[in-house]
Amino acid sequence: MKRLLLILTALMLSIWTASAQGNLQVGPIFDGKVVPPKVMKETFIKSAQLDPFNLEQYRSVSFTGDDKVLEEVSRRVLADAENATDQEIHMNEGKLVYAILTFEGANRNNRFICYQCVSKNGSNAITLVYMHGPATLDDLKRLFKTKK
Amino acid sequence: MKNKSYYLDLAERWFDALLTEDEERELKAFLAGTDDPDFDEVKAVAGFFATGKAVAAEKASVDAHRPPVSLRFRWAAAVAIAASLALVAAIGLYHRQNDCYILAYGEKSTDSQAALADMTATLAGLFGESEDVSDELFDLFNPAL
Repeated sequence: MKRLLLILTALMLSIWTASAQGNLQVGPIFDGKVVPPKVMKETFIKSAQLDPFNLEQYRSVSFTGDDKVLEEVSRRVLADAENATDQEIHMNEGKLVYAILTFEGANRNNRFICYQCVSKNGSNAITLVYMHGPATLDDLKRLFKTKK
Repeated sequence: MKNKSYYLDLAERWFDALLTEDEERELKAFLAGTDDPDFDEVKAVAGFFATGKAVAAEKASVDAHRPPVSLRFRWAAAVAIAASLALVAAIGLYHRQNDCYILAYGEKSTDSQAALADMTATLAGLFGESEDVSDELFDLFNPAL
């Protein structure tokens, strides 16, 4: 009995602690390990509100950082790009300014990483988004382009 | 009259499990009444077995009033699994319905409409940017159009 309870507890803990971004290089950025949480804005949605978008989870962080921060974030995004099934990357003067990475999963469990950086006067405003759900990139583009 | 050597011989054969039931009873009766230190070891072993038998008998008595162990185990396992599933389902349901927040520079807001508006604006900015870049590239390579 004790063994059964131990297994169930371990299983539940693993489910509880498992992070959707856990196996991605950008995961630590969302967890505030690259930029402190107090200097960034995080938006997290995992509710029925996402149903119209065919998404199950949305998480974004936005923050301002120096070139060192930009370099670290870019390195992680580009590392994830190597494993992406589809990618759209734009560089400007050697800096990563825009990226959309798609990770197609089984049963339409698709994951997306979107990155955008606007640099001005040595400061970099970075936005990083993680999403997952049955939606395709085309679905999302079609839905959100019209909303601008 | 049986002498000490007779009982020592009984004890020795008892250790070898060679006594009949009558001889064993006779030896135990003798052990109960003697203070001879030569029989201390035999008494200690006999006492150990007696204690073990008593505990086993008590346990058998208690177990007789309980449902079979396998049945109890199945019930407990079923209850544990059901409780765990209910807990996981409750946590899942809670997260499905309530996980929605904006954590801005250390301050948390659970306004779901604000979170949704923020998401829409962010994605519109991102996918709008994608369109702009494509348009810019299209314009660049098709200046006559």
